[in-house]
Formats: sequence, C-alpha cells, structure tokens
Amino acid sequence: MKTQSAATLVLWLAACIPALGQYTWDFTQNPVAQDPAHWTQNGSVAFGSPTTFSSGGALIYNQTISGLNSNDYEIDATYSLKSGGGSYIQFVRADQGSSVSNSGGMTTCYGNSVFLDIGIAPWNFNPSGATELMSLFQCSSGTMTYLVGTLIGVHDGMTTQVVVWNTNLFLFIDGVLSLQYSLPAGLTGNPGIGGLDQPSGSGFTAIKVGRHDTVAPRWINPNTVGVSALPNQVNLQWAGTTDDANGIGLFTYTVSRAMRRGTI
Amino acid sequence: MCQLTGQHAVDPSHRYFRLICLVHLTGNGKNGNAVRPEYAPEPGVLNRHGIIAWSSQISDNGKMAIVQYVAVDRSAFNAILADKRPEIRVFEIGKTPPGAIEAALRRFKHDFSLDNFKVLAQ
Repeated sequence: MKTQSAATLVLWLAACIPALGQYTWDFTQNPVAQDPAHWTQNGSVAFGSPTTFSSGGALIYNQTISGLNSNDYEIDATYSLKSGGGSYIQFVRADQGSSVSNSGGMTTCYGNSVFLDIGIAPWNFNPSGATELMSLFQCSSGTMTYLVGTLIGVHDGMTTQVVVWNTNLFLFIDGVLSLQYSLPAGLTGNPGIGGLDQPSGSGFTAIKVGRHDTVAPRWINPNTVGVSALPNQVNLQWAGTTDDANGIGLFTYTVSRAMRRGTI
Repeated sequence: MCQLTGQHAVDPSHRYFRLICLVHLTGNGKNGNAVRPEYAPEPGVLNRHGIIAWSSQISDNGKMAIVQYVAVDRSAFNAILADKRPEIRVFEIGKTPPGAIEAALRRFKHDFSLDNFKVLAQ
C-alpha cells in the first residue's frame, strides 16, 4: 500500500483479471465433453461443440480445486449464442446434486448453490449484440431466492469470468466487470455450468477452472506517482505495473480517500 | 467553447438514479415463484424504462431484504417512494449521507456496508 500524504490519498492495487502472467488452470476443456473424471452430470446434456442444455441440466466440477481454499476459484466460460431463447447458467459454491429444470414453464432448481443465469429472450435476438437479463439466484434444497437482476450486453462468442473468494463474487464479461456481489457467508462447493431451453447450435464451447489467485500484483513504483492537488480536484498519475509471474493478470487500480473505498 | 480532455466515463456503480431500501420478501421459492424482494421486477420483465438493475442482501432475520434499485428514469421509483408502511425504509443515494444509510440498515443486517453493496448498471 502506498500513501501519498500531501493529498491524504491512499493507492492500492487490487487483484486480478485479464491474463499477462503464467497462471496455470486446474482444468481446461474445449469443447466441453462428457468427462466423469471431472464433471458430475445432472439432468440432460447434449455434448458437442457447443455443449447444449436444452432440457435442463448441469455439469458440476467434481475435483478439489487447488490453492489455499478449494471453495475459492475462477471459472471462465465461452458461449455460442446463435439464436434466441434459453438460460445459460454458471454455478458457484454448488454441491454435486445441483441442477435446474423447466417444470411446466417454471424454472426449478435442485441441490444447494448460487447460480448466475443469463436469460436470452426468444424474440429479436441478434447474435452480434443484444441486451439481455442476467440474474443471480441462490438455491437451498430446491428453494430459489432471487438476489440480483441486471441488464447486460451479450453476443455470440462472448466470454465470462466468475471469480469467487470468501463472500465475494465478481463477474467479468469480455474482461469488463459486470457484477459484484457479496455472497451469504458459509457457502461451500464447486463451480459448474448448466442451463435449460438452449436452442440447437447454442451453448458452451469452452470452460476453464482454476484456483483463486491470492498473490498481489507488483507494487507501483512510488517514485512515479505524480500529484496535482487543487482545492476541489486532485489529479494523480503513476507508471503502470504488472502481476507477478504466476498471476492471472492485473484487474484495476483503486484510488481512495480517508481510508474509505469508493469515495472518490 | 473549449474541449475537455481526459474525461472518464461515470463509474457504472454510480450511474442513474438509485434507491437503497429495506423491504419485505415475497414468493415461496417454488415452481418459478422465487423468493425475491418487493418491487424487484420478476425475471424477464426488466427493461430500460423501469428498474434496470437491482441487488439485494437478506436481513439477519431472513424476513426482509436490503435492496439497491437502479433506474434511468426516477419515475420508475414512484411506487417505492409512495410506500408509507412504517417498517419500510427508503433512502435516495445522493440525498442521504452514506453513514446515515449504513447506520440505519445495520439494525437489520449487522455487517451491512455500502462498500460491499455495489450495483453496476450499463
């Protein structure tokens, strides 16, 4: 942490995202395949390129994830979105019985998990770009609680990166932070993918699962920090830094005032 | 006229009109009737003319939710702002100091912090 005393400003670096370093994934798969050694399959899955969940189902990663805490991890997914309709789901903190199904037009969940649901409307979908609804649900033994709803931009070939550690959940879409949420405490479990009502030709094309990167990026060089302080305005500049050699990459720089984040 | 340079886009966690509220939960969690906060649009009905994003934290007693609602048009909040039930709390971001919002809502969720309650809206 670097303190700039003249303006009572504090700078620090927050981990992590797009790749610069030599981060090693626990598991990568392209295309997503039937693989009982890594996936617990629940419900119906049509494997291929892409792998499609048309009737409701899930693949839950069933190996222990490396790192300091196996419940903290990153799961990246690449989507094929060729036509409208369908729910595209990423599970976190999921038990091995987690899944979803369509019961009489109503979504039903199974097991215990938190899941992100990108719902593609069946009408007016444009594969090159559309605004759709992303929701976050908690499933507790089949009881669904709707926690978050927000509009997001989606397109064919997009990637999502879900990072989970402690009670933090970050979602990046194409490298841009799109959701930040504080999970209920005490949840454990693995990541997974799933969905329902996905049309033919759409689904998931690639998956990566890996540990949560807990090593901070390199400090900024304090000699490069420049400050212009005016009565009602402060401008800062500094030379960029990089992640450590085994890191997943640098996400952002955060500037704060009076030791309170988010106040500038 | 002069051109301003170096202007950054507004942080997506600060865009548009925002309310932070304490509301009841509704729904039974079964058969598509998910438990959700009052005033939260049902799945599939979010649009740019109403609430475009919302996020919730369940209260310590599990019976209510602290919710941040985001709308491009403030009139999307009319129903919430008109809710005069005594147990409902409504704070408009930018009008109530953050410390006052946190103090009021920590009675219902002991570790509530605005720093951990960001809603990104595009």
